[in-house]
Amino acid sequence: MSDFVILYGSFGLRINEPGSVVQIQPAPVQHNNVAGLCCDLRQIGLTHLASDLVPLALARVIEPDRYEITALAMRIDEHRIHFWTPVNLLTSVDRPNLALVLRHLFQTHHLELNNFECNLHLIDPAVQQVRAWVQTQGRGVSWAGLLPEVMDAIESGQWGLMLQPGNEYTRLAQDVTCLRRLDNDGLLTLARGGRCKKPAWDAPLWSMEQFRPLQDGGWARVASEHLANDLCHFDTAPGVVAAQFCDAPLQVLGEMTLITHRLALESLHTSALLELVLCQINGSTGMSTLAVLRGYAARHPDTDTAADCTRVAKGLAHAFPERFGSQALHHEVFPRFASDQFTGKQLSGVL
Amino acid sequence: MIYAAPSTDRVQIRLSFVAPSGSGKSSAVNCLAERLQAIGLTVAVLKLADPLYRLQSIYYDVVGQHLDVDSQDQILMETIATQLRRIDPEVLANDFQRRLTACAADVVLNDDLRDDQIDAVRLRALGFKVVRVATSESVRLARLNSRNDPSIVTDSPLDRQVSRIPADFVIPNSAPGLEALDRQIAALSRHIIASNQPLGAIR
Repeated sequence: MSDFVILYGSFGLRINEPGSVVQIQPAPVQHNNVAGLCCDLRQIGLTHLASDLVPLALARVIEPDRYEITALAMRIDEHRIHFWTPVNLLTSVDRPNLALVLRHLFQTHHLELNNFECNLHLIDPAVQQVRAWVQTQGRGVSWAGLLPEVMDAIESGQWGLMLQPGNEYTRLAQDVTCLRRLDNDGLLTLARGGRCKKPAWDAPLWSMEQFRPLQDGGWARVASEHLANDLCHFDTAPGVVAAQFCDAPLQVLGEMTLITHRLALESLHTSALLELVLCQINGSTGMSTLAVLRGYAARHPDTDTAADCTRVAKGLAHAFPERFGSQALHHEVFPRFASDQFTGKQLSGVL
Repeated sequence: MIYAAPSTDRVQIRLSFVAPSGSGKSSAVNCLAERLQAIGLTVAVLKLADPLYRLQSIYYDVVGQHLDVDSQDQILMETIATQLRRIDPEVLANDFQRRLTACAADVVLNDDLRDDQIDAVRLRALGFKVVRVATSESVRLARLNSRNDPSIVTDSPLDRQVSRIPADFVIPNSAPGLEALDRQIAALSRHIIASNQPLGAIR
């Protein structure tokens, strides 16, 4: 029997309005030393959410009618609820004061809980944890068949991960032009369109990323921006657009079609935000596949994403040895992949 | 360093600068030529439009007016080019190739490639790498209007052809003055000198 319970009550408590805690039920899981917890609402018999019966918090039973609040509800979607533990949350409280204390806690942590998309600690690209897998010409096959299995494995919770609610999966197909800066050996990628909202439907929009080489042979992403003004009409050559924006002489390396499947993940152990990006690349030398696992942000400052990345990489290698069998650590893998592609260097399966 | 000791079987560097009129192709070529000459390389600038300049000069002689050697009566030159191509589409490319074959310079630069269908294909086959000069439209028009050419064409169909020529290198040239351009050319020049590839051309 779990000594953890779920506290149910009025939605108003989340938004600093009066309300009450109306129900306390045993939680189907333990919540020990982890930053988050993802519950299936159907598992706790909740198939219909009412405003006065919302799962609000996880708590440990200290003694009869006394609880220690260990996590607050962050996001609820159709079948899932995501509990999360802000720093300095743990609070002991008697049953009669539960509503008052919960209202206070939600108010104290409202930015972290309600602005969860943007209240993040982004990790400097130069020190991000990255794992990469490359499969070169002749071995590359589409990721589409494998995606449902990967997502199922993540959803099962065996790797301590959850898919970020509302941002679980995105697919993007782009023609990407790769260019090398002649003044500092950096690499640029440029693609028409982007994920930023345009001022008008026919306004030109390009996405540009810049990378710089590191002394250890890796790469760091130094800029990722959308370009939208009179310098970048849709029919302008990509090299011309890029040269004018970065004001540097460029060498055009070539163009590749990039089909990207991105799974947005959150570690339940550390609350680190990770992404697993599975790319299918059609270039002049054939089709290759590239998979990148990257820890890019966290909800707590000073979160170390290394353990998360290692655990997920091991899990992937165990579950899908054909595709994730061997991997290497790099800050940014795409620039090296692109450079090698266009200079005709044969990749050996692992970067 | 393939250029340290020129010999009979050395590789000739061949670069063609492309951009709409007024973008600064000639300035870029002059900058690059100076830099390459400063390190002991011989540089030749070959123009595809050389026959057009000769014919333009004859027109002005007939009319009895003086025209500077490098000035362009752009309307007249485009008309001459159109009529020459009607007779033989490859006339300019053939004339260019004859002069190129006779050229012994270490570096051959070209700054007037505009036709993407015939001339660009020929130059590519002859081992030329294409450098595009990128200039914002407002700066380009201002430069064009400040020139002393007898006539200018601001919206030539040839400019649209130019935009279709795939480039190997791009240098920006929207900043005022030659200092910024010289900085861009310096980086391009270093790359040319440092790399055997991809600038290997045929000899």
